[in-house]
Amino acid sequence: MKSRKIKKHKIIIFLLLTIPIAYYILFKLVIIPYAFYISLTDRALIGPKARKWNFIGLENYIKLMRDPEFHSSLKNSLIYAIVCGVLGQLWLGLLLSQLIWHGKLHGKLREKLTTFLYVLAVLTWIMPETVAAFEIRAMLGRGKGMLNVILESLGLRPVDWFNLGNTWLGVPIMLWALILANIWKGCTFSMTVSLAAMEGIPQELYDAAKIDGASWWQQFIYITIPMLKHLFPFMILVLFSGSFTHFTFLYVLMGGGAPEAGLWREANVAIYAYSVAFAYYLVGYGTAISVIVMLIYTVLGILIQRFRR
Amino acid sequence: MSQRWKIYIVIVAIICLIIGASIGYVIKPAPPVGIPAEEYEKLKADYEALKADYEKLKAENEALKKEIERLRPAPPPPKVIKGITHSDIPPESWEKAFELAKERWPELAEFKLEVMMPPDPKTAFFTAFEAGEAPQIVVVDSFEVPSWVEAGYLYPLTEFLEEWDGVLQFPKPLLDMVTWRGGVYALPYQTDVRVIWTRKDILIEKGIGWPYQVKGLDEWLEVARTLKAKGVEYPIALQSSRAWGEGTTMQAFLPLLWACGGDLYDWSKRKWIVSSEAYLKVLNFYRTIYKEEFANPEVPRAARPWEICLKDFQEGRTVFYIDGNWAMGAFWPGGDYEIPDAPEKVDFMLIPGLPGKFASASGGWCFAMARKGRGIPPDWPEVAWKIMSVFYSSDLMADYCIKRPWLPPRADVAAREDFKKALPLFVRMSEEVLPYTRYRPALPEYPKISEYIQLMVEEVATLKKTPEEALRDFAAKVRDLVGSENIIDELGILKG
Repeated sequence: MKSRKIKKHKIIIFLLLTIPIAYYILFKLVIIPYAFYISLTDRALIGPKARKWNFIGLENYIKLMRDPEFHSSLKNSLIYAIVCGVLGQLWLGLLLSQLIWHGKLHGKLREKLTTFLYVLAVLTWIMPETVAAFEIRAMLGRGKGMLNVILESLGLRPVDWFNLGNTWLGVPIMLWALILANIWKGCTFSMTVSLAAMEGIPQELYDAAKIDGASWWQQFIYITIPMLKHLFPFMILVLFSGSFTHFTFLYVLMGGGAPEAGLWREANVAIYAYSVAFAYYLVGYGTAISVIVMLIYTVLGILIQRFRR
Repeated sequence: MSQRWKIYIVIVAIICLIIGASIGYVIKPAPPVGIPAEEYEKLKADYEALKADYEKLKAENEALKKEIERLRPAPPPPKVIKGITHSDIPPESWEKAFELAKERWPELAEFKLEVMMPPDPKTAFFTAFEAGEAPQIVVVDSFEVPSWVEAGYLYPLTEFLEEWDGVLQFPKPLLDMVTWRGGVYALPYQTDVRVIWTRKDILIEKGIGWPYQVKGLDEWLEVARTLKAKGVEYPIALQSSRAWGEGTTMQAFLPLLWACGGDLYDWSKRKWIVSSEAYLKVLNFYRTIYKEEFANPEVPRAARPWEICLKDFQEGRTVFYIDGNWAMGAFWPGGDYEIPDAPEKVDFMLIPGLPGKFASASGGWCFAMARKGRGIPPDWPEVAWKIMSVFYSSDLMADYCIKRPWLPPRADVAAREDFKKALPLFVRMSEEVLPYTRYRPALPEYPKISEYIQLMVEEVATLKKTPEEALRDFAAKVRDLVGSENIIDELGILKG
């Protein structure tokens, strides 16, 4: 009787999974070999190569190894993903979650205040990327941007955030601007995950720490972080992969939707792949970049699975 | 009622019944007249048989009706003419043209017009084409026409133009821009020229005077030096980075190269020229203006350099600003960088090169007819052409060229009184600049080579490389792109 019930459940599960599996095979797995094939051709979007392209073997990949723009975009992607995901979003999210958690444990007014802060933080997260990008763009604008108006009112020189000639620590200021914007947008994810994990930390630890006179900061350093550190590898990988090929947010933030003007094509690998395919019209070459990115993501995916186990 | 009365009533009722029965027995109904009973029965039987046949036929008829309904061909798909456009020609303009077309050709009433204005029209078109659902009418930059033809995207307009006398109003050089392998594949709805927008009020104030036309690059540098010494912060502004995209190549670099006697492509040899004295002359000009800060050093580094240039020009920090005729809209009354009394303060000069030589560049956005997909012709091309031809009519073209403002590609529109009255400066441009104008080599490799030019100019303007180094790198990239057999290296920089 019991085995029949299990069998029935298995059939239902199988039927429920059929559609997503078919979808996955059709729209994901089939496309990957096709993309790999296109990356081995000199297919273009305009000109005779759009109509009749040639199989050129690994030429696109060899060219990629020598392409300084690709190297630059890969470097920028790495800087962006490490600073945003690993240094910015993770730690800021953790701090925010501690702030909110700490608030929860105290008086009602503080609880209300922290709930308000939580809602505010989540709003930045759920805000559509295009809207957020235009908002940030308005804040960083050269002439009447909010940040520059503040700087000017303080008697400081306004900063051209989108000027590629300005650098700080050898990195264009524009990349820092993008990093800041993305940390603001994305730190809520790690905050939410940390908050959920903090539910599992025994309350007694905090109570004991308080009796011992531990401050908010000490509780964070000596209780929260050690108790959550098992989450870090997973979160770092997820945040890293989320930032490594960030596209929409950066595309709108830099170009405002106009691909011909103002777009920093080497901002990251995703934007470079798009530019190569749709601004230089070299689809084969652009797809080769995408295949490289896919390989990087495969490695990241395997690592994430390992850490989850 | 007494017992006796009851008996009387019963007796009367019995008597009435007896009398009634007697009458009924005596008066019988008459038999059918003229037909014997057997025949009547036979007729009745025939009637029943016919009725049964009728019911059967009726059922068959219903079945046949259903079968006919089933076999009836599907109604024809709605007749739709589709278009992809950009903000220069918004969907409202298309609707207006379509309404005018319907007035002229009433048979177009059965058609519907659907126009898309995506943020990136080219990518939207490529996607639709690959799906076999490309629109009939697309907007395309004239210099990209050959590469779109080579890709198999465009449908020739030649046969329509043979029967349309409006084409006679288009100058031959403009038609040459959109002709590829003997076919005309698009037609410009506007054209433009590049000039040096000049603050004549500042030139007068600083003692140089007006009218004035700078004769060559060396003279221009001298004037810039003088102006700088007299307090003009950045006398010259011009496009000099990748952020300005095609503007860097077309607005400034190519006119300067042509005015210096150089060229990008040798049409007689069908080869790309990758180095020449003219290249070095122009690159040295860029280096000088940025090294001596005759031009704002932020321009080649900024993400939106046009904002800096226009602001400097508006506020009088810049006197000479190279740009297209359309830039007038920015500093004329109502523009984003409005200069008060602009018509009295702003005028234009020709772009100089070698002493006494001038040049300009022209392009133009076009309407083209696209194939539906790979190897699939467009649906109802003749209808699409009718709508396109309305856009090219003298009245409509005059209307949108005055509003934008644009230079009209039709000669008769430029000669109209309403156009002359609305845009006298453009009429002067047509007369004074068009004789010097040239067109980009509209070849499939051009977009990529243009990117290389932008990088070369940016590297010189930001003083990262010397003109010789930047030119050598440019030449090597072009050689790698088109092959060494397709280049001319006049200076031999790739050898040494």
